[in-house]
Amino acid sequence: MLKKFLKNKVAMLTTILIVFVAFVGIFAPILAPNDPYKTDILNKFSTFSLSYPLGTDHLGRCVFSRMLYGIRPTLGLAALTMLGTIGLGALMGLLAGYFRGWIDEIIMRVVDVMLSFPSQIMVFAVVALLGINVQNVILANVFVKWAWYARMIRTGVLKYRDRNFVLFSRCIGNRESFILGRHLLPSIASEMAVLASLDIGWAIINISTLSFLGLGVQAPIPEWGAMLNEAKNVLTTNPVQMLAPGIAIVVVVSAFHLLGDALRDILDPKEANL
Amino acid sequence: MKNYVIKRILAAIPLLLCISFVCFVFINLIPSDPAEVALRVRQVPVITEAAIAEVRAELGLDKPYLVRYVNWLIDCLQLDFGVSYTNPSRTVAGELVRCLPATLMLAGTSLVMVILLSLPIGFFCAVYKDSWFDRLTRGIIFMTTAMPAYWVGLLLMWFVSIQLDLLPTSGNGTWKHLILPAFTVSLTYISTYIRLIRNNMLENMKEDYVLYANVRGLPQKTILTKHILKNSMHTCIVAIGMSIPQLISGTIVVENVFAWPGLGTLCITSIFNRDYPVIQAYVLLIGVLFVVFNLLFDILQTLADPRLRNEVV
Amino acid sequence: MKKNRLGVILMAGALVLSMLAGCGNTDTPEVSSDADTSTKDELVFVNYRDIRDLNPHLYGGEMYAQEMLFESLVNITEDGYEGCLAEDWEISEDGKVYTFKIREGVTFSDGTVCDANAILANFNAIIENKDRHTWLEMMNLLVGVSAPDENTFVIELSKPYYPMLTELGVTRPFAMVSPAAMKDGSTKDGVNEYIGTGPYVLKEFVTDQYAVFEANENYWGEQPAIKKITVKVIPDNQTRIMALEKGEIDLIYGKNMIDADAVNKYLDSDEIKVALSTPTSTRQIVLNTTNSILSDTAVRQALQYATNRQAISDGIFYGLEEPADTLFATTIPYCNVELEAYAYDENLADEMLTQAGWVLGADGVREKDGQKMALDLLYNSDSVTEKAIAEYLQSEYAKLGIELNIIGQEEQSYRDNMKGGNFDMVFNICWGTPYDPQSSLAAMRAPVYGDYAAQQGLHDKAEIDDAITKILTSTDEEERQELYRFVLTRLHEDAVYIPLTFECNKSIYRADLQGVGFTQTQYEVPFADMYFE
Repeated sequence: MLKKFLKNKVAMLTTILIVFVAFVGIFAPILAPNDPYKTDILNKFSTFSLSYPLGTDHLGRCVFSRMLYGIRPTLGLAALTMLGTIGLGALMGLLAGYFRGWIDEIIMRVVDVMLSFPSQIMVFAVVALLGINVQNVILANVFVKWAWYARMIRTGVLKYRDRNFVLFSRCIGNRESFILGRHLLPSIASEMAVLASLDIGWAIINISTLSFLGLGVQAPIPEWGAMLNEAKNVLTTNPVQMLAPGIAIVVVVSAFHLLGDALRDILDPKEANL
Repeated sequence: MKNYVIKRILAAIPLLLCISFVCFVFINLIPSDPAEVALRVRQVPVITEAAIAEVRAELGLDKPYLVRYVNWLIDCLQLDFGVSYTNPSRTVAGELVRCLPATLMLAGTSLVMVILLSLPIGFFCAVYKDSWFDRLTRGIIFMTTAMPAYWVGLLLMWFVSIQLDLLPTSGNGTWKHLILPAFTVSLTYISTYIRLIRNNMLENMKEDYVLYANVRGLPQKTILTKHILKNSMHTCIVAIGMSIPQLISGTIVVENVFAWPGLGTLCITSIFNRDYPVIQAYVLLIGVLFVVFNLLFDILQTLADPRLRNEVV
Repeated sequence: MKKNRLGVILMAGALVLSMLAGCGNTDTPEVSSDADTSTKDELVFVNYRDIRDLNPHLYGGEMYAQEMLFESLVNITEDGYEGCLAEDWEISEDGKVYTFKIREGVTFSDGTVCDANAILANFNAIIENKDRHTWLEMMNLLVGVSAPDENTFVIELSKPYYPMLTELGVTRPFAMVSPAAMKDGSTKDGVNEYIGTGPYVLKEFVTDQYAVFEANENYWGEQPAIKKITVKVIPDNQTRIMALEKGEIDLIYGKNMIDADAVNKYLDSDEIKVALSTPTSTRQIVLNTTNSILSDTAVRQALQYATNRQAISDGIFYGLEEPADTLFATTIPYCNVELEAYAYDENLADEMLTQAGWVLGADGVREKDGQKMALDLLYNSDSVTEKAIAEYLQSEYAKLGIELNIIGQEEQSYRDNMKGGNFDMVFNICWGTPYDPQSSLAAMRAPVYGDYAAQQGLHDKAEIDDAITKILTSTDEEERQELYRFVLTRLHEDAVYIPLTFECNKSIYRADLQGVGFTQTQYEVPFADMYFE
């Protein structure tokens, strides 16, 4: 599997890109030429220069530094969302698929209800209810997405639970939790990886959309969606402001999509169309 | 057949109840006290504990939870969603009715765009698989799935309206105002459906009946249009139909970018103003729409496809 | 067979489509763009929100629209008072009885005669809802109103009251609505129709989309040159500017409707003109003294020193709005009291905060007894500049270890929260002429706006309120000035208000529109003076 991964150029390149972006985000304090919060109000909307590589925004803050710092909430929150989603989804899916019976019934009914709501609306509803704040955005995203994972993982578990190695494990007296964690989870992990890398792109777009609408990451924290929100206010006078954050989002999300597709090719070459 | 339809409709009722219950719980979880809000709405200068208790009894807030739910549900069925917290002179139902046409118009136009663009493009992509056209389209599709809708909206607004001065930037009024937002909404769906149609047609091409038609020596054109396209359309139209509520809810972001006076703008403003009755009614409305459209197209699909029909009868 | 099935689906799809498209039949009024026939007499104006409830006896309507429809007994002009619905008036020697001679031949736009009885009906309706109007001191002093004959109207007070005519002259609540439009003689629960005596009548409106006003043909005064005014609702600043550039609208007018960047852009333009008024009021931030952090006067004063007004004036307003050092400009009557400005001094602010016990924590935020120095600043998201100022202050205060969370809300919620005292810090404006300083100060004594709630933590609140009450009924000019000096000095030293800049009313408009000016009250748009070339 690893060999296949290393051989796949797309997978390698996108992974390198993503890791690189993550590192830039982590080392933003070293790499950024300016303090992303420092305003220089008399120098607002300045163009590209050595001290401000991408110019300044409406408060005279360095756009380039804000872009670098913006990686942190953008990638970090998306990763956190996915962790939460997969965690909750896996737990529910495993419980439902493994124990069947009434547990399965209850969980799957809840999943059905969750899936019957348009996810976008649910995100807004949850944010509206809990208040506008970053934690709530993550909670909202986990809340609307876990059901997909629960259903997928349940199907996966059903596929594997009667395989010989699981039956054997049970025969030799391993505990149920051990079987769940050691045998079933790894078996469906690869499918999950594909879905997760595709969905992390979704999470990035979703979180940035909320920030763009003013419901997510709040000022003055530099986040790409929030920066685009500020750019919108000066669309007629300073349109350049909206380029950098938008392009950055497209590049990172594309990278995750490509990675997801490549992973799927590696795992299952048959399904490789589009 | 009739039995099946009835069964499906009956099955949807618990789901609708579930959705309404979630919405009801939602309004009851919020921090502000409805009794206090009611007093504020009536412009009572000084709010006392006694006054709150009185209103509480008047509004039936002291009754058990389930009783209140049933009462609320009955009100909802009569389209009475209460009054807006921030604008007490307006009813929530009135606000929804005011904003719904604009949203439906936007969603409807987007739907037309989706069909008009994705059908032919998907068709040609499948017919000329791996040609430059197919590759280019797939490239564009790939890009658009990675672009946030609001950013596309901003770019279009800047390029088409400000630079080229072709269309109005935002707001609503003439059909010209509609083009940019509708296109932005439809973009995500267009790429999904091009993909769907293309793959569906490619799969159909491998079917036996195509081989048979080829053997019979029918012209390629007839095979493509009469058989393959028609068969692929089934799936696609049902899929598109089912995504209508998705489209309606998808307008929420784009409406805000283009200042389109529809439900989405109403919803976001209400979130900022903590106008909970409006948010609740909006979520309820979209939830119900979602279930109804799913049901409708599910039944239509079964009607149209004999294989599925035989299964259920 | 197969064909039919497909047909069913297609037809169903088409049905849904036509349903969707058919429902969405929203249309806006025809706006004449080609006006080359004769002189153009139709104006397209813009506002950020709906006209809402225009009942002039309540406070829920847009004031510019109320000014167009309704009139009061007197008008306030630059040179004093001028007769409006009252042709003339007399004040008794003891200053307690006002006798108005009502203008003859005035009718409401529904044909009802506007005589003393109609005015009495209006006053009765207003007095019925007295609690709502206590911000006007005359409501508290009122003994009775009467109409001895149809041309005479009398108001009797318990004490002489110097701003009496001003209060009668402001847009609301003493504007006259047709008694036929009242609900059983009452207006506190709304009116049936918006019928007044003003130069315009409301023809039609679609909530949140537009409103159309037309000239009142039976108007008793001079007919305005602009015969038809369409007011579009456009909440977004950038959209408004684009609409003006494309000629979809003719005029943008108001304090919070145009940002300084736009004004700056059009200063040298031929197509679009700019008009700026003299300063009308003070842009300020109100500090809630009941907040546990802000209850300390030293902290409030430190915030004053931490605020760089000059940078806000230069950076955000390109110098269009001058920095403000005091709550009221010294040009406002009675307000030329020498107060020492809190000049910007970061080090002093830092020192004061440290002395007050707020020391920098490990995360760069000050702390005292385990409490973090975190404050919420509420701004009006319908205002085009408050957000930028808020963001700027956020970064400025952060340098001093003060965490400022900025929260934007739409105008109505923002006002509700301000009134209810649900804020730590909030943007505010003083009311400008003719309300300043008497009505603004009078309103501090009751929960009218944020001031009342914000001042609750002041140890000398009772003393200040007493002095304000005395001012209003004082008949001695010198005593009045002394009392004003006392109140303004106390408020300044208590540092409840952080003055920012002196706001001016701004307008940008198409070059063919003439006569765009400003009146005494900042809430009125003087359409009557405008005409097209």
